[in-house]
Amino acid sequence: MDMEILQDYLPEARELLEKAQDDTLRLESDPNNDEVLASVFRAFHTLKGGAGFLEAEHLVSWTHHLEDLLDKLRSHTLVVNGAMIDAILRGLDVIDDMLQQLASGENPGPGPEELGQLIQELAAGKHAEQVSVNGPIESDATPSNPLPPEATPLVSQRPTAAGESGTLLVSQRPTAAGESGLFLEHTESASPRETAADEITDAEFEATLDALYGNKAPGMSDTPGSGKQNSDEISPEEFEQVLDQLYGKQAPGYEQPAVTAPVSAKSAESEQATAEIAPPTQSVSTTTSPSPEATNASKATLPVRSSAAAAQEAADTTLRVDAARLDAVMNQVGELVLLRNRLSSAIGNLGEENEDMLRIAREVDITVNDIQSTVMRLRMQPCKRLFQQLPRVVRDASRQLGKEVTLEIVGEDVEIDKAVVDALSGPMTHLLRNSLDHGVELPADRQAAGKARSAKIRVAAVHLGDKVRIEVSDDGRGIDSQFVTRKAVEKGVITAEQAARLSEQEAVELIFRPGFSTNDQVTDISGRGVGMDVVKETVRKLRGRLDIQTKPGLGTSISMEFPLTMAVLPVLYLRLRREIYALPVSSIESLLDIQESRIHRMSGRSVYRVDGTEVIPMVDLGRLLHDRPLRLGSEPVEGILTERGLIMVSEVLGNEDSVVKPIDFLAEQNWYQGATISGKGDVVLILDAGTLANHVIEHGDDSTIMDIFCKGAA
Amino acid sequence: MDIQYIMGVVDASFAARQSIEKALRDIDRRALNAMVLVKRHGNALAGYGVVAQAFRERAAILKTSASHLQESIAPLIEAYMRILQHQRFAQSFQEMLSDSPLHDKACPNLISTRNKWQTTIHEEEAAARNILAQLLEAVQTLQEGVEEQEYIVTNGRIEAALAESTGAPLMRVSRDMGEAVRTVAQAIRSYRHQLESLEHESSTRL
Repeated sequence: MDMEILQDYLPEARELLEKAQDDTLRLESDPNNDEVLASVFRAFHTLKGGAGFLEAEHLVSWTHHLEDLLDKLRSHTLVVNGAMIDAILRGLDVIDDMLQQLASGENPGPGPEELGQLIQELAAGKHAEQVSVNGPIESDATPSNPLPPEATPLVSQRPTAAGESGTLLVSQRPTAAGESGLFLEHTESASPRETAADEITDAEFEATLDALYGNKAPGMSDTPGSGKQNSDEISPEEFEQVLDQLYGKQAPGYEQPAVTAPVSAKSAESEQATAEIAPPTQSVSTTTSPSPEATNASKATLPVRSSAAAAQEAADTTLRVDAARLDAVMNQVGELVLLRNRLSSAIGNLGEENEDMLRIAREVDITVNDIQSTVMRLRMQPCKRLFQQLPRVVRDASRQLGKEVTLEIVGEDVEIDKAVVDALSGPMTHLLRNSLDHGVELPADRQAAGKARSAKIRVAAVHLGDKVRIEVSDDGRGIDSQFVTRKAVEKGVITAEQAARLSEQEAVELIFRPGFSTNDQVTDISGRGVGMDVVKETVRKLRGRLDIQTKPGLGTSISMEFPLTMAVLPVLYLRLRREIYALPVSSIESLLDIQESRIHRMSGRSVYRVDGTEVIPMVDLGRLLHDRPLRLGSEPVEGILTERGLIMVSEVLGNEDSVVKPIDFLAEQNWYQGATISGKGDVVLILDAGTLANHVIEHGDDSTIMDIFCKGAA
Repeated sequence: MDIQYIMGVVDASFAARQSIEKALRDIDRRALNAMVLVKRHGNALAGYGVVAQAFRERAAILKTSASHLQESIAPLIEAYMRILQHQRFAQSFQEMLSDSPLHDKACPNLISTRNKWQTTIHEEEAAARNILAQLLEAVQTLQEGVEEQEYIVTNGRIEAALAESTGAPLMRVSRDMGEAVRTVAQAIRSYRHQLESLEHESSTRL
């Protein structure tokens, strides 16, 4: 296997696979969309070509069968139905497995025989069933219309002059003289079965051309051989573009499909009718904002050449770079940031006299900031990469659970650090499955509660300053905090005493505890008590913030906020007696002068009254880290207000952009996010404000560092 | 000038020091608060970030100036205490001479010692005036620093108005900064008033 080709092939294949899955799901609601059919066909075709270079025979064979099926679909020899969509999606999963095998250096094994057989039978028209061609697929059991007799494909399979069987492809391109020309291509790839299914006569082919152009067909006046001989090969992409341009939506036999609309927009009557005959999966629809479909549709009328030229331009100006190289650049910029900090600190110590040095330090500061933000942008990826798997997840899970769901995706263009995109794939899937399983009610229950039969799940990404918020919300039944608390006690996640002290919000947040599940029985979807804690842990590792808001009967919203970049972490340095620590700026709300009159005791905890409405737990860093509480009035004490509590420290020193170095030699449970090197060249531990506050919330403020040591020091 | 007056100055110095230190700590905290806010909002508040940085740097300079102020207080008090002590010596010699009608013939050394003390006191008073002048100069520097800080706060208010669309509570932060600066300015003004009355007392009594 040629490793160089493999390195190029794998990322491209994964992109194709993701696109194909996305398109296949679109086909479910828009089965007659020629553009989408052609796109899925092209994906299989390209995958097959690459696999051939790699001599991955089974992958070639697998993609060939799928390509076969799609070829029939795009030529309208067959019409898309539910069974085909299922088979294609399952086929995509098999290709994904095969790609993973390729990535690990193995030659992929054969795919599941049964599925392979099914795909071949579908391609042969054995399972062809009549479906409505006027709108979304209604049911697997709905009968399908055979291809209308007037549908005339522009792919002709007939004996060539040499007596060989082959395919004639037609395309429209500029001639050497710069005029529009029509070109024919002969290929020998057609199988006997294809030939039989797709065959048209010469007369039909000519009639189609005449119908299109009459006697004014481009290239008719060209003298034979004027430059055509050198350009008689076209790619499948060009072919598809020409077909689109030639026919648009007026292709013979083509019927205008009904406007695709989410199920929620259907009339109550049609919903009722659908519910009676259709399995719930057909109710899953996806809307995106801004909608790429709409964009594509609006662009569909643009000249073929201009879009091809744009694609070429994009290809010329983009570069595929190994992520490891980007990581290396990012690490080097991190070191540069640390060096900049040290330079600024050293020059700051020289005092005001040395104005030249101060100016140089400021210029270095600005330049390093610019480099940092430029390199940071290199690692940014659109959330689309993260979201594109979700329609499939919703489709499969809703079908399994018998629920009707509309998935709305917003903010696919919002960009975020590659590390976040890579790490969030699993948690996002889990959040959606969890929402479907626990949040969304059955259609009948929703109706009984006065809601629409179809639930709505919204996935959104939004920019918030130097953060990105990703939100998963549903309009389901919400979370019953008392039920959650009872289950948590039953499952031994917390004690009854701890349960009694929990606020409503804290009770809801129990769902993020390891081992917690409200399901007594384990299913494919949930019930093992792992998942939500993984979501929380992933968010923590990505230095993010997790928040859950729920309203019983109305729905639940889980939001995750992540820093735009993982490479540089702005921190606030603080002093605890003689030791210096750092705290991420992102976790700080404000700095406070602690007033004794605002300190109160509540349920065995010290709490601080921030203002008239907010009372939060106090986290005495002296007690936790030094086993000796800070004494207000006897020694300097300042407060750092975080989202979860007020952290008491000796003094707040200042802020700096730092680079986090992992401290993986410590026990899993510790107070730190990592370490950094301060401007003065000292190694400083970065505290994890959330863990500190959680510890105090769980154990009261009598707990000390000894507790954490007992939990497991390095 | 008497010991009570000196003690009054000592108390005023202590109170002023406490008040200035507290207000400067408050300024520093407000500046850090602003910088944290700016960091949390990313590039959208870059303009305010410059203001917050300048505010914090000025706060550090004020802190240094205030520490110079403290360095001058102790020598001034020491000088005045010594003057008081020496005045008492000179006074006792004067009383001895007044008690003896023939003092100018019988005890010429007494007169000489008294004159010597008076010369010493004059020299010490001159030295104390120097220290006081230096102290007032330091206060003046501090006040100029506070004025610069007020200018930065004004700039901060303008930046806050410009960045209002971001939704960050910059106007509140700027108001807090302004209040902290006003507290320092007031403490310094009151201290200066105390020192000027001491200067006036020194020039009329000594």
